[in-house]
Amino acid sequence: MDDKVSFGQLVDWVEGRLPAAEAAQVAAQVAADAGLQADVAWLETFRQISDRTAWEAPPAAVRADLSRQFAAHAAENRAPSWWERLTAVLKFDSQAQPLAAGIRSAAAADRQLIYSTPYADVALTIQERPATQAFTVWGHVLPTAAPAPDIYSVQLWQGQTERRFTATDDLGEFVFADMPGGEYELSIQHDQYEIIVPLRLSV
Amino acid sequence: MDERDWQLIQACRKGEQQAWEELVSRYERLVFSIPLNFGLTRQDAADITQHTFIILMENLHRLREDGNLVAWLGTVARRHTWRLSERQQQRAEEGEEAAAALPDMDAAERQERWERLQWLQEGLSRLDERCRQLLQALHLEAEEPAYTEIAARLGMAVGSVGPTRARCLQRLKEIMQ
Repeated sequence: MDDKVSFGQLVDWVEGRLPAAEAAQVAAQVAADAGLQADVAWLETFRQISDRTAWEAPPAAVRADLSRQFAAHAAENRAPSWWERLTAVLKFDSQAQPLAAGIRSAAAADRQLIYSTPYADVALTIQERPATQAFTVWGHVLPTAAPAPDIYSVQLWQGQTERRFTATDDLGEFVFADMPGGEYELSIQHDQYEIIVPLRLSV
Repeated sequence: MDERDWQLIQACRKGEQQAWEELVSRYERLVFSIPLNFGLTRQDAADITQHTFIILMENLHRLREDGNLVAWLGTVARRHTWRLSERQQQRAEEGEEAAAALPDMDAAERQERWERLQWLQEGLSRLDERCRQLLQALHLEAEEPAYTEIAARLGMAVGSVGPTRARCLQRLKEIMQ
């Protein structure tokens, strides 16, 4: 075999499909060629990923049901006309509290903020990590109207760019870790409203 | 956000059924595979898939062009996977049912599994339909079908399955590098 090994031969060689003589020739070329070695490494990585990962389509009934639900959703014309976008109002800032007032957070390293809207309050605890100049933001969404939603989705925006996305847990809590300083906007979403919370992370 | 995703979301907002079908088709494997790869049953995975896409449906008008739909879907599906896993574990511990065979997985392992799924989603979504179907059938189905079955399914000659597979893998490698 004088010609350079083809990618197809490499695929068969990696999977042990070649006759012994041809496999030996491929092995010799691979041993002497860094480009072929890189191809082999990629193929082995792909094989490891595909062997270790389930990658299946859901049952047809799931798709059929989602189709029906979308048709009903579209028919109801559930446009966001009844959907409200609310900018939360800052009600409490631990850094703005006088130390003499005895408020615990005034002397603590963490900054605590409470924002309010007609539907929910949002409590934020911001911790600076001086070693990395990064911040951790813990959030707690506290609905004031019953029934409390099952889950809120939470997006973190910087300008028009989405930096992070998460969802609240059973207790309405969420966290964003290792955040660089800067000006952000939290968007906390429920079926019928979105709460916007401005967020500035700075030393 | 991927340009096609954004077009589909805008069309879905107008109630276009075909756009919704395509959006589901693009991400149904990713979403269904998340609970499967974290130890849940196919029935649980089907429920979480349905729940995740319904949440997407409810949030279509809130998604923004600069958002990341893969991360969005992945976060919702993983969140519901953890919650269901925890509930099953609690029930098992309370003796309400046989102990669930859920894997004990640390955060690093969870992250690694999620990164594998993201890698597959990104690579496969950028292949043409024929390559995607061929690689999924040959490398990612639970039971690898015979070349004859794949050839019949994809309408190609049996003799071309091997060479086409090699071309598709090479294409995937180029895309991912």
